Amino acid sequence: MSKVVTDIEELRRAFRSNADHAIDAVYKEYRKAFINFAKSYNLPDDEVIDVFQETVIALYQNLQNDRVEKRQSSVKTYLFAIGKYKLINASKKQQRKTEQNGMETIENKESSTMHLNLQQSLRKLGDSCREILTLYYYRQYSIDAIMHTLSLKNENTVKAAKSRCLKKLKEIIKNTSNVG
Amino acid sequence: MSDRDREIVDLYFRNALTEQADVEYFNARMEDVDFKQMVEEETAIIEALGNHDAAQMKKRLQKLESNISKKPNIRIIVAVLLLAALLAFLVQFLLSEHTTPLQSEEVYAQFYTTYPNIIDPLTKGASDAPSIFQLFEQRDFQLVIDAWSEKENRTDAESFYLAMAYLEIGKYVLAEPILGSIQEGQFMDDAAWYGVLVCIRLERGDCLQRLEAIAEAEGSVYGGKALDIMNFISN
Repeated sequence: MSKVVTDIEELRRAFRSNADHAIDAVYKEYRKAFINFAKSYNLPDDEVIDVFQETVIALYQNLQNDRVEKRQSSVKTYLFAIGKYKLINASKKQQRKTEQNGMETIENKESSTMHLNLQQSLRKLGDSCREILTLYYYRQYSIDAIMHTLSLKNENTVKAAKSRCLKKLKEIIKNTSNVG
Repeated sequence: MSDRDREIVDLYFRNALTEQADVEYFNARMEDVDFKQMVEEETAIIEALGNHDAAQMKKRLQKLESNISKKPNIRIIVAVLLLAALLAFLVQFLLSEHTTPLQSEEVYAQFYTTYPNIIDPLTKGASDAPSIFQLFEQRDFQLVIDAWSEKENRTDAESFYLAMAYLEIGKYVLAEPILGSIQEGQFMDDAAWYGVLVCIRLERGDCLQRLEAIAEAEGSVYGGKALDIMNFISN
């Protein structure tokens, strides 16, 4: 059984060494407590699990982008603070859903079409290009770090690959939008 | 789009604009339509990259959740097993009329006594009977069984002593129907008494009612003993 990580600094270290493993451990450790914590929000069980997953993803993204506040010390406190906010939102959404009876605005439709095009384009891009772009733009890795992570020859190879992949993605987006 | 523009946009997305680059970025954003469009386009791409990354993580967590949900909860299994054991114990307890296997043996041993040969040689009836009753008295129980177990039209006396012979060698199951068949005559009360002892020994379900019937039967010499058993069990 793996050691329970309760301290944010400890989690940061575990995350840097193996992000997936660290997130899995957090998920398993705090799942039950979160379900109990969510009981007062009167959400269906599957909705609570969904909120918990979104909470863990938010933690994952914050760790990735180094956005976890330094003053935070307990993983549980931090996780549940995010979770509480998400539970309140889910609760309001649930209420609206029953009130509006699933009506979708035109604005939402447009935004979701654009979102869909981008997602489709990213899928078409291919794993290696997507990984370079994710590491560079989203996770903000340095060129040197990408070179080591992806075992590329030198920094120029990374820069060239990044430019080529971005160009390729833009072309795919353009084609996808035209087809759509 | 110049290489410098590309560099500035990259610095912007990485929050690494210098003071000089910040001014360049601001001017280009205000004056150059293509530059502005590129920034907006790439902002959306970065957001999509983040969403894609989050979607991958979501898939991982859903898979993890499904594994957790499938995995039987060890605490529930232990609770179910304990409940089943408790239920089995209760059923056993009720079926055995408040006696446990250990108690049933104990009660039987406490109250069972070898029945004496009370048959008067002059009233034994059948010509071979005297010698077989004699065998019972001599504790040759297997010979008694050999002589009477296959015999048709046994007298109640023969049946009763055959059952007693079975009890002496511990064959309670064979004794049980024979004792149950004696519903009248001289050995009726004896058969009822030994029948209830067999009932307890074999942990049958209706022993308590039968004991109560014996205790309440007028004139039965076993009434006191039946009460003693009931006290013994309740203690």
